[in-house]
Amino acid sequence: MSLKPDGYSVLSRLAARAGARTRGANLAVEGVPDWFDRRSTFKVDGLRVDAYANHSLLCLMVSCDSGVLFSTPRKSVTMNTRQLLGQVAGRDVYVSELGLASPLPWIYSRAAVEGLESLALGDDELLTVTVGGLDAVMRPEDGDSFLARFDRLVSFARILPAEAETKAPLNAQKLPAELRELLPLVVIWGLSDDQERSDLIERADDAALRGLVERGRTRLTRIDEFLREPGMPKDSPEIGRFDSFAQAVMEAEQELRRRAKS
Amino acid sequence: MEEGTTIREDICSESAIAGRYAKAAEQYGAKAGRREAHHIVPKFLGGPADGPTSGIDAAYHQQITNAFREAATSRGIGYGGRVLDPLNSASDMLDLIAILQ
Repeated sequence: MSLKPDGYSVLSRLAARAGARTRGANLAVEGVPDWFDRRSTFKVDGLRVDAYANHSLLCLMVSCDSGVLFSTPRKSVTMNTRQLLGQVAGRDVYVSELGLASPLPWIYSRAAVEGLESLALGDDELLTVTVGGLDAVMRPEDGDSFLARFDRLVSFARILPAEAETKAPLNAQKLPAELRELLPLVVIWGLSDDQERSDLIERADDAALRGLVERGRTRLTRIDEFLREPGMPKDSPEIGRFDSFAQAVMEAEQELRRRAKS
Repeated sequence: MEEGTTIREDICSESAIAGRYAKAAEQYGAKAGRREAHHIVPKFLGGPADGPTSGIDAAYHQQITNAFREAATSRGIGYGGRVLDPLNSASDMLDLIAILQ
């Protein structure tokens, strides 16, 4: 009798192979009724992988330089890929109806078609390729065959067309004078991805968190004013990073309080 | 349909979500198409350290973050204002619920 593989055991194998540990998580994924409650973060050949599991599924997130947006074989509501492009490797491919980060013409290249074929996605699985990475909700299989499939997923992440370099550096001249001295801290702590910011705070030692809180706390009101200033474009990197920085300061304060209690 | 029946938009419908995403992409074009993890109950509002997250479009995430900030600071909460402790205070929990709505 063979036991059906479950997400947790496959996650443990993935983590062990990468020399990483697993820990608790609390991730909701569209279309999946059960939360993903185990997690492991590791690197594969320089690419960061965040792997999540529940009993019946794995959710694998690979960070890479992707500059394209599509999902297959279904729409992704949370990434708003609602426009059917057509079939690639025998599976429906959906793209942004706003024309964001179009995968054309690359998606029809031989490398793309072969890469998608190699993943052999089932009807109940979902691959979403976004700017900056991909994530795949996949069914666990027998350990060895899943590891091979995971490797093919990472290989696919590597061949995605790269994002054009659009990240503008933070411009100190656009900042109020009293906030400029925070720039070095903002570069480190001003991460807009809530999980990445949380991870950074969790890993930081008490001294680093205290330094962040001491320098940032007294400026929170001024940062809030800056974020509301009518002259600043809402989508400027300065606004985005300072907003995330303010959250990091408040979260660091909570983390210090939590550590003091435990 | 009976007279006087109110038609309420289903804010969770696919088309309603798409409309909000389109608006977010218009405002924060540089972020659109990227996925970011979102704390469903923001930690700066007292959400638990290991609270639930969900991956959403980064432009939409920014829009939600702004809405939370507006709702919080208008009540004198966060960003230098009062710090919520909703797990230990019923009134803070009510404030949190009001902000999330």
